[in-house]
Amino acid sequence: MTAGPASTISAPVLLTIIAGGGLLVLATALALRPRAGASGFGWIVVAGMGCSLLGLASPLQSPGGDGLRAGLVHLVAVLLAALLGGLSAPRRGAAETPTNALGVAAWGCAWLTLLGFPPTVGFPAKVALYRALFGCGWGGLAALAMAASAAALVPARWGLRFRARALEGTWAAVGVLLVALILALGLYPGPLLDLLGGMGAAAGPAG
Amino acid sequence: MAGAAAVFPRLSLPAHSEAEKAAFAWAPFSLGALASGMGLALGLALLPAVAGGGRVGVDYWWTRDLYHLRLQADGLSLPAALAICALGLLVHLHLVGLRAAERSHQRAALLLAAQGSAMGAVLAADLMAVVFFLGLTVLCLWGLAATSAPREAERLLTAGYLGGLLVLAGALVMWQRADSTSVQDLPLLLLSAEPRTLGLIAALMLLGFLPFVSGFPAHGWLASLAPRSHSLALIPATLLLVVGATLVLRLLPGSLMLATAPGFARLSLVLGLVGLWWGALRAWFATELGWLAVWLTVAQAGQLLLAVSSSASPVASGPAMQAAGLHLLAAPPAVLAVWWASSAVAARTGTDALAGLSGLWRRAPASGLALLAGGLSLAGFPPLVGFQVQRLLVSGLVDQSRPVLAAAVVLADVLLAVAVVSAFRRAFLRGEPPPPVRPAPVWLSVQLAALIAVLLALGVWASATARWGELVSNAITLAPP
Repeated sequence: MTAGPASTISAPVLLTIIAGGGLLVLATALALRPRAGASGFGWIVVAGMGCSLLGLASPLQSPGGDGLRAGLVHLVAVLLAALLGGLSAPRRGAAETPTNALGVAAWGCAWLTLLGFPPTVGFPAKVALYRALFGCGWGGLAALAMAASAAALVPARWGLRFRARALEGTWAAVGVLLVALILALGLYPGPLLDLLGGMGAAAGPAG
Repeated sequence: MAGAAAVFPRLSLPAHSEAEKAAFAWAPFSLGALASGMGLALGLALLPAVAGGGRVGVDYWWTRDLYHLRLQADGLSLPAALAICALGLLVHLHLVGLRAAERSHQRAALLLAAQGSAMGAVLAADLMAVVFFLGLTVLCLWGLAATSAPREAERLLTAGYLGGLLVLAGALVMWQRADSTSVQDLPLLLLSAEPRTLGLIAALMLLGFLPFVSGFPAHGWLASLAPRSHSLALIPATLLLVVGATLVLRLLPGSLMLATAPGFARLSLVLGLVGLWWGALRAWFATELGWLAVWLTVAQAGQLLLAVSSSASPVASGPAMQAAGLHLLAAPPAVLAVWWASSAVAARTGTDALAGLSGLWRRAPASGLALLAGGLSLAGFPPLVGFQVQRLLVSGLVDQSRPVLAAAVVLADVLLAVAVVSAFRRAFLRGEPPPPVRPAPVWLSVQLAALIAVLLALGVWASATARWGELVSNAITLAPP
């Protein structure tokens, strides 16, 4: 809201929007296939990256806006979820994968972060992203990103039914650390926002 | 179990199995009762400051410029928080005294977390914080339901998530117009917005809050939460009701002012009529006490929306606004009574299916009376507290020259009453031999009797009830600072 968006869209902005929006729509559509199974998680991670790209495109259009920080926060949230999900994702074709409580918690936390549920870091990331898109005058893209989030519920419901991989030993410690980080940044995202905001400012007005 | 017996001698029901006996945990539920009691005491201490139209706020800069946690106790949010604490205290004491289901530690923690999140949602004075706490509440309730009813839990998660997204979309459009998401600043800042934009925001907010009024349209998960006793449905059923009703009331003139937006009154009228009649008709065909409680809850959500619809105009009649405010006091204990009766019957007989129940009046009179009192209060029968709500709602509709709508409400109430009396007759008065009934502790009967007394006392002591309604409606109609 601090600076008004430009009235015309330049070619680089348009290309970034097409790339980000296309990635978002395509990956969400692939995740919605009934045969996607546990791989739906991967496609929703890709869709999340498409969302981040949309956020990163907004400072090109509205340099004084919050888009760069929003895009970076969203990217961090998606990457944390991807790491956690990668650790605990069910093995392909293994119906009787051994599981434990930590694996289930990690798998659930990864999905909830991708969906943007509080108190995970996904929530401030989604809020920042939607707000940046709205602030840039891209209400339609914000609606598209929200619709994609709503659509992600379908693979999330399928994915949560799979047996998560058991986390033991070193992987258990890494899993606990990632879950704690996701929850801590969700409950108190101020330091992350400040850090990424500072990085965005240092990168210059055009990002 | 020994611990429970030491604290509540002769009050605990025998556990159903050795596994349940081993899993029984009175400590976490006692902790829940203690936390609820402390919240209740704190809320009552704040009541004098709020009753005169004051506000008690706490600001905590959470994320600097993105959104922050701003809590505020006023004439609407404090009664709602008190209701959550009081209902939580009752139910936690019930769970201590009755019995705990398996995984009781986790469930106790989730119940308490859901209660705390719901408190945050009603006390939040920033729309982003409202979305945060609503999401957290849904997450806790999903965790609660996921182990016993995974499919229903998924539906709850879906409905709650979509509702949260709609509220978030409405809040973002508001932010774009007003550059603020604080509920204190928004009414004045939105005055300059175009009617079409206001209408869009109001529709998004109303449809977003709808899933939280009794979990609609994912209400069915409550009946599946703990099939053997429904005891774990007691808090969620009332929590969602209080949270949803409080947030919907926030949309009325004087609070967020969104109810004056074009189309709002018509949308809430349509949703209210559909909810009331759908609930009333489905209650007729309910074959289990749990499902009867579900449909009664849906019907009362319809009544709330009708009251909101008739209060939507800035010049709405006093009775309509008071009916909307009083609903917050009257509906939760009535819904709780019906769920409690269903839970008690299922715990003592092993089923809540009406086909398998008969002649329970001699063995479980308190459960029967609680079912009648709660159900008939929701149907608006005197001398129960629900009658005051219906009286105000119908007189408000008549004042607004809408006799057909008033008649539709009365007719739906009659349908609800017949459904409740019919279920009561089948389960409690039918002459066939009753099923085996486990003995009830005095504790359970005392709780049910206390709940019936509350419903009767609030109905008979109409002046105090009216004062509460005035407190809430004054808080809604007060102009923002």
